[in-house]
Amino acid sequence: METFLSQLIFGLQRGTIYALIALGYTMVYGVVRLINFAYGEVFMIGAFVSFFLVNAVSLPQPILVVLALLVPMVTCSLLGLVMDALAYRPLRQKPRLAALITAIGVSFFLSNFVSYSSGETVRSSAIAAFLLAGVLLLYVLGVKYLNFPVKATPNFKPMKFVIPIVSLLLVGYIFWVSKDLLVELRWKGSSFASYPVDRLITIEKIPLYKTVYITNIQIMNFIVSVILMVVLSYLVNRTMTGMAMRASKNNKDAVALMGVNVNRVISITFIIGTALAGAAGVLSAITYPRLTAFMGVQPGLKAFIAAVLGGIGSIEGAMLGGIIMGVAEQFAIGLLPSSYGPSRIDFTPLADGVAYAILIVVLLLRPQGIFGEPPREKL
Amino acid sequence: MKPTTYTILGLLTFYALVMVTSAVGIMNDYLLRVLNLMMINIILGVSLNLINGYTGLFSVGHAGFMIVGGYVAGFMTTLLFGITKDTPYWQALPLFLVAILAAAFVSALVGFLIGLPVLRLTDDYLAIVTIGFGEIIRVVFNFITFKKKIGNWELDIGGPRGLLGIPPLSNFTIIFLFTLFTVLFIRNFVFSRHGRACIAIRENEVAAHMMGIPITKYKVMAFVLGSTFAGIGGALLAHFIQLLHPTMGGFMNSVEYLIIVYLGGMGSISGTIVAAVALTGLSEFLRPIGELRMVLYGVLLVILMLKRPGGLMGQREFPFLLPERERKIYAAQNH
Repeated sequence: METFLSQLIFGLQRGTIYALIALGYTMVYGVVRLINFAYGEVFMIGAFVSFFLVNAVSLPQPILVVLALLVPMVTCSLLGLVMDALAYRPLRQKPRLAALITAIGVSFFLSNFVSYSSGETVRSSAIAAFLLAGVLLLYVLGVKYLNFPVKATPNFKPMKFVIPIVSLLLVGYIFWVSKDLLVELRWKGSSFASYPVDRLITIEKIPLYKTVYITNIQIMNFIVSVILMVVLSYLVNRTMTGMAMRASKNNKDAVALMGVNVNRVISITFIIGTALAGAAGVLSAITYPRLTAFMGVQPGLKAFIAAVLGGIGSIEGAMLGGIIMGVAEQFAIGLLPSSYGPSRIDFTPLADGVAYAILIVVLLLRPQGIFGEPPREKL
Repeated sequence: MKPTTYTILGLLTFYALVMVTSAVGIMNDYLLRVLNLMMINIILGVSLNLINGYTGLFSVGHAGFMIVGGYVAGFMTTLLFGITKDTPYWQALPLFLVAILAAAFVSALVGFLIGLPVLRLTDDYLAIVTIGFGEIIRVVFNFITFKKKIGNWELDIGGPRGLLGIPPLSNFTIIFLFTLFTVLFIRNFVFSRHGRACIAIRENEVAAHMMGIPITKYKVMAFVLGSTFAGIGGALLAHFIQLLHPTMGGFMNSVEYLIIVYLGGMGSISGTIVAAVALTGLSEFLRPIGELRMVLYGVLLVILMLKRPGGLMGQREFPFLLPERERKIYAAQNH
């Protein structure tokens, strides 16, 4: 019983992280029918941005926690915007496979870029600066050449100047900060970066029932994810943008004819999805403080499977699917014997495969997922 | 002389040239290695092109099939037959060929088992299932670490350490012959009625179904053939780099073969060959910049899709790769 409960708590924690990433997948898929493979990498970049921020700034804990969550979310949503504008938007009228391949390309680029930048001391400290600067510069270019995403109306020209200037100031500030980081940050020759959790929060164990306990990190995880999910539900179900989003899911052309700027809706979807993935990255970094450039690949794939399990395109489905996935995986880790039989076979590596086994079972039994509708063939 | 004769002469000259230059010492070991790697990549690229380019299925698990073949062949030669570096080549060669056949067979079987349930799904789902398959393969090969003595040989394929000590049996001749066989086989398949059925499915599945083409049969056929040749490529690769590691079957490696196919052009064998040669050469050339190469790959894939979605060659072929009849049509079109 005690084992069951504590495994359940760990599973829920794992599940909320998957659910947050899965939301991004499912929303974008609902509107654009694109599997954005790069969400795993957005998740990773969220974790890294937070890592550099927490290392660079010394503030009292409560403020730092909020900043460490918000800054990566903003950075990631900018990244999502840029990704959409440069890699996916030009392909919107092309066959879907083309966008799928660029998504793989973007994902490959991001993870390998971070991996490349994080090799040695100097490069590792420049990484945050380059990532942020790159994102912002691309954003400026996007505003300038693609007239995106702020479409300035004739009598609201100032935006065109404000955004580049603010961006440039930010870039300058980041470079200025990273100059000091050069000395301060070292990965000490290891292949991963340890997230400085103690700067954010002092870990405490709160006993619940006999030997079952819950840490304050887990509580924070639950609170943050619940807040984000509630905000998201409000946004999707109660606002005009959300209505446009849900309508675009059904028929993009009809929505465009109603005077809705579909491209803007898609951009907003990307912003929300990537912000959630960034938040998930930070939460995951606090829980498992071991960051590598490829840390996003597995959670990304598993979150996608969670979205498929819940019914891709459905928001409740993604939440439920993520939690089911996390709990299932945690139970697999807890229950598989680590040395079995006379030859001491270690079964725990198999826990990694549980997600994929679930995927195959779901696709065979109910390809549309728990909340999904069966696809209809149109001729 | 017929054009086919020219092609055969060209291939013979190429083979003789490589053999002579490497015997004399103009072609050093490094260049020969690069050449071999190019040809293995051609095998893997062309077989993936059959699945992705000609039949229009989006498989991202090619490295998974490759490594299944690699493990089967490596297991057989290293553990089952007990071939080592010092075994005389004439003794090892027949066993190696048996191992390659077994690898092809097992890969085909795995491809069939994966393909039959999965190919009913649409492209996105197929992509994610094939990724999942590659990951399952990785997890399974990571898991098998137990040592067991059966008779006088030990069952141990290494688990996370990988399978080490595979004898270096893939030499230039073997790889050359298998590459030739693969390209020829897939070319003949593509220009046969079965290949046309596959292309029809790619162009419009519903219309193809209306014309009486059994969709699932041809999808599974293309998938199984592709995975068979991936298994052969994996077997050759394993005995060429003398090492197998579970991560080789993962997503990252599959992406490399995807890039070869899409750079060359979906549905163009010539394109795949050009891309395999160019990319392998480029990655050797770019070795000094190390990991930045992978960064460039990502950018390359995005730019390629944006600027030239058809790949380098589009759907065109070199005339010498076309069958006689096609070549006449091709020539007539161009005049």
